Amino acid sequence: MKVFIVIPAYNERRTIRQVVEAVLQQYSQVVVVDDGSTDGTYEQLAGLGACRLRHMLNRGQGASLQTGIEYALAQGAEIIVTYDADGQHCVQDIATLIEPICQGEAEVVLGSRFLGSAENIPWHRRGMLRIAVYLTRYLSGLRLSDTHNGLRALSRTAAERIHLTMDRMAHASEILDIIGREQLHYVERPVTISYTTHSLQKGQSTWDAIRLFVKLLEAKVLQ
Amino acid sequence: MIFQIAVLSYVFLTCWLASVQWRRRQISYRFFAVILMMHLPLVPITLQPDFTNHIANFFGIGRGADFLIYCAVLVIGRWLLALYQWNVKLESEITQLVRHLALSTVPPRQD
Repeated sequence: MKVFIVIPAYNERRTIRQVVEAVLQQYSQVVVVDDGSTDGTYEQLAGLGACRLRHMLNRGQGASLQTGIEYALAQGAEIIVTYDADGQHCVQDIATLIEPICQGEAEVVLGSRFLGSAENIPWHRRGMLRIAVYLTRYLSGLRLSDTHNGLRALSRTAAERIHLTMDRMAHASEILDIIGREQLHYVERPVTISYTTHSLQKGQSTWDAIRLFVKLLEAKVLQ
Repeated sequence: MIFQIAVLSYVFLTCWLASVQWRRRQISYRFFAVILMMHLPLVPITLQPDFTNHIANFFGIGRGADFLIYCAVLVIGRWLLALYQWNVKLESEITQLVRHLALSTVPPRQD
């Protein structure tokens, strides 16, 4: 099956080359969406063999994912995997994620660090994610063990039905919302997340999480 | 008296400028109508301050000044919401434009 790995990247000069090289060793179709980086992330990708898309302005991770998904669909992708650029994901997990789609068991496969392992996860982040799990259950009706995990796989039919309008980090909740609304078949699979100093710096703070929740509520009210 | 003259001058100037802009097609008819609706009621309110007391009493509010404050809060709230919605729409359009540019200028793969 034609598998595309979509990697949104914003100011990831330190890690992007290593991440893309690791993915390219196992998958040939890698799409990196540089979201208006100012640190030379785009230039770091030269000569690697990955497809490079560039946002002229920083529009957020959700916007970058949607750009990458649209490109992959136009290229005939049958499975699209979303993958973070900060080096916290494990390439071997991609195979675990795409298997249920290949077997026809699910349209969306969500990675779960709590079914797998989350190395060096700070206690406050674990607590924040637990709260997010309960909020997701309340808002979208999905019973998940993890939420806001960037590693997920979408079948072509699911990707065609998921159109992200939340440009920034709220897209992760929006995807779950759409899965619930469109009644897409989903499963969770264990994945490993390795928290590094870099990925923790790039990740969301507790304040970001609160703002994100407010943003989601706003979107729901405006809908 | 100074207050009345100042307010009436402000209303007259604003409405006149709006009508000039409307005739030059610089603003829409709808926007022109909103400006008139927001400014013309100031004329009777300024000339006859007791006038608002009658309206307030009709709605069950004691004082005309309180009635004006309630109206202002409602108008400003609605205006802020409209501004927010406009901003969301604008952000979405910028994203679509940026995406269109990104997808139409994909460099060839360098294997």
